[in-house]
Amino acid sequence: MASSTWKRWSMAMAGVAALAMTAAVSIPGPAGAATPQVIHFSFSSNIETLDPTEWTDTTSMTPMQEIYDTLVEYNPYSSKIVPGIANYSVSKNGLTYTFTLKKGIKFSNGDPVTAQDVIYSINRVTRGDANSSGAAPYGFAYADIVGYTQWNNGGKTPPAGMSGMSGVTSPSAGVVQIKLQTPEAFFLNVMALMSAVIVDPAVVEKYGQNYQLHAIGTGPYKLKSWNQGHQMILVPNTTSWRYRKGEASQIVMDENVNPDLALLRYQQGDYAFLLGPLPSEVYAKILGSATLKSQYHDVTENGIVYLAFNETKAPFNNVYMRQAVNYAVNKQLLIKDITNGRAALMTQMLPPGIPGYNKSIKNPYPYNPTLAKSLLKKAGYKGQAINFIYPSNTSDHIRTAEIIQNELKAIGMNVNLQGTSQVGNYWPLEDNQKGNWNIAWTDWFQDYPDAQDFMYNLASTDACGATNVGCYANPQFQSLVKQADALPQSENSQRNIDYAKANEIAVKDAAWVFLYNEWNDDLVQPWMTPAASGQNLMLYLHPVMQPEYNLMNVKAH
Amino acid sequence: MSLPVEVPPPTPSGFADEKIRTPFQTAVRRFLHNKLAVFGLVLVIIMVVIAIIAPSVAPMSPYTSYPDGTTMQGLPLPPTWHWHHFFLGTDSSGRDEMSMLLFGTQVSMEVGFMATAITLVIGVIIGLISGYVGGWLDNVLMRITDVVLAFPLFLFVILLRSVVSHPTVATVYEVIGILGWAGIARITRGQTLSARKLEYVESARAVGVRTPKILAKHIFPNIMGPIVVYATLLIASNILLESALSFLSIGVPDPTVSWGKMINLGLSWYQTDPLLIVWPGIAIALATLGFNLLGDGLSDALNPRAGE
Repeated sequence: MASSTWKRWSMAMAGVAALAMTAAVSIPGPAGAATPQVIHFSFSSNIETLDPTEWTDTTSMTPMQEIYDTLVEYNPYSSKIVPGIANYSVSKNGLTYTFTLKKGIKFSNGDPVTAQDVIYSINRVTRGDANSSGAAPYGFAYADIVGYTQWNNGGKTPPAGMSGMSGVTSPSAGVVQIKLQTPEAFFLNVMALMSAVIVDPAVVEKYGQNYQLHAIGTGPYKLKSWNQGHQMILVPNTTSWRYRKGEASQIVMDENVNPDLALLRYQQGDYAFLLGPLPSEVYAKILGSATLKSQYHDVTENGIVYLAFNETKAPFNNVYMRQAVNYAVNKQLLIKDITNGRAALMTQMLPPGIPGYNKSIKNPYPYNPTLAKSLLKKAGYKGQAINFIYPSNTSDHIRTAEIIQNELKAIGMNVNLQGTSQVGNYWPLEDNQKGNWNIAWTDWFQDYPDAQDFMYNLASTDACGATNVGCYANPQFQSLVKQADALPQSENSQRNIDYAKANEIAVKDAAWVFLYNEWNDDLVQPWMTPAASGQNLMLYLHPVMQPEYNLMNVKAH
Repeated sequence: MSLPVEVPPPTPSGFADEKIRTPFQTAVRRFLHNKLAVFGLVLVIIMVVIAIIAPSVAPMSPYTSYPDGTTMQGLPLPPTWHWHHFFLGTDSSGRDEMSMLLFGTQVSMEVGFMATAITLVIGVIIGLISGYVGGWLDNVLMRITDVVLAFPLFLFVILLRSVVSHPTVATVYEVIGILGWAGIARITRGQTLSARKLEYVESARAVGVRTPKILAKHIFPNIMGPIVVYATLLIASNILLESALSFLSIGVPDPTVSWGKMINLGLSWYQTDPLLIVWPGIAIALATLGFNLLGDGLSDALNPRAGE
């Protein structure tokens, strides 16, 4: 009697306790609703770095452009170059650039920006330094500066007696002058890259290897916290020249969030947007929902998705092998199944939006497994194992790899798939697989709307081992591209003729497997608005830079 | 455990059934009367047959991404219920679900059986030696067994599998087999300890029969029963283990088809195309169910009083 009552009582208590615990650990409500001035979203991969000497990828661009500034930048949501933290002038012969720092620009720790800081930043990124964890991958973009070759001796310590490139000087306080060896129509675009952001030398020297976690800049936001691989939080830098009253009080970026989870959080109102390109399964859900469809935007981008060949060794140092793979891969099938028709066929190295695109090249390698097999025979392929590496962070990449492996198997190639968790353009070489790969899935999004960014950066011998991941080399191609690169902007028609011809060579060479041109799409919450009236908040409309988060308002929702 | 010859008692009417059955025949009769056990056996036989004849029975290729295997927008197709053309629909890469299910049977059966075989060989030998020889050897072997038993098998398998650079299907079952013997070693040892005390074993030893022969001819046949049961259940769990590994993308390499891999790729489509995970899920469930029912049936047939 007493005991059974006690039993019932204790069971009831257990039940209540269980309920209480469930309530306590239930999924918390959307953060967005509680703190309306937060821009919260995610990336499906890592933010790789905040150090300009290591920067290569589009994900890192997002926080970097909020934390830092460059000497020149793009007019918001356009591709027009305007002054950043400096005004500029160019000499008539295109060989001397003079940057005059604007008054009162300060780092977020109060240090004023000096000409010496600018010189330090530029020299540092062109050769890396003892503190950066690798050779500066974008250093070669500044190779045209006088003194680059002597300065960039490839070692960890600078050459004796040199403190920087001789072509980078400060003739007077607050003024930096850069001299080039040959004119470059796109030099200001290169100075607007994330690799050219201005850093505070005192902070860099102080933190050495850990600089990234303490990165300081002049931008409208500063780093509050970074749990690497998980989440980064930025808060307003109120002393910045770009600080805008009314900008979001926090930018919270989650890393490595799987697209389905990201969509769920977006639908719950937690995430402000879902950044693309959106994988097929997310796109399928959008197609099935009127609400999501109304929040969906897509835009063609100047980007390419391709397979690079490791051309430093057999078997892909042989053009017949490369052509065989090009004929064996059914690109239309990939466009249908992987991109759901959102992408267009890639016909050459340049996407159609870049001047220099060769309109006469329509479909250079249509799907033809029979021809592929005969080319394989011609090349003398003896069945050796071929390693195909790809970033395995999204199911789209995995599916692409599987489809291609099957198509290559069908023509008799022995292909092993190796997924890796690294992303960024030349991870094939960063990875443990250093050199031990034959085919690599890779992609490239324009840094600036100029053919040089594709043709030179991705396929010149100077970039071999960096952004030219497979070391494609063709002397005719190389000289055409270098010639075109050096022409001033007034000679654009000749430039375009040269680039178009170079494309023809690259296509004949089957330098890459040309898959498809990048598109981009995203979902944007209706409560995200542009700060300036009349401006259209359409992410990725800006062809060059990432969305400008400090120019967005978060409406109460 | 000893299996005495069963002599049925005389019936009240005086009409006695003179037929004396061997223990084996009795077990078979008991098994066949157990409907669930027979069902399990049938399932297992079907699976094994499918695994063997999959290439000739599959309506399409499980590896090919068919150009017409997706909708106009490149999304998976629903079931068409036409055997030769996407009977159960397609996955997001335009591959035929039915063919993938049939070919997936091969990997599940191969890994299931082979991993169990490896485990049996290692575990039974260790158990036999340990139980029969006794003494310090028994001690050492059993302490080793305890250590292996204490390790979380799943994590160990993941670890071992991750360090292999060019894995094959064989890698998967070798890894599972090599790490999973502790349980069967214990059981074998226990059975051996009892069998050792049997009268004819003792007399064989007295006569001077050598140990290996005793183990092989006298001990082993007597302990086979529980081992067979355990092995059958082990096959079921090894099938599940392989599916889990493939689901985590560290199972069988591409392009080999595996039910676990199908679930992995289909998972993100659960809202728009849930069948992509339903079909392989059913396949795994049926395979596991079949072996479990078979194992339980064998257990009941060989030792009917165990469950009471």
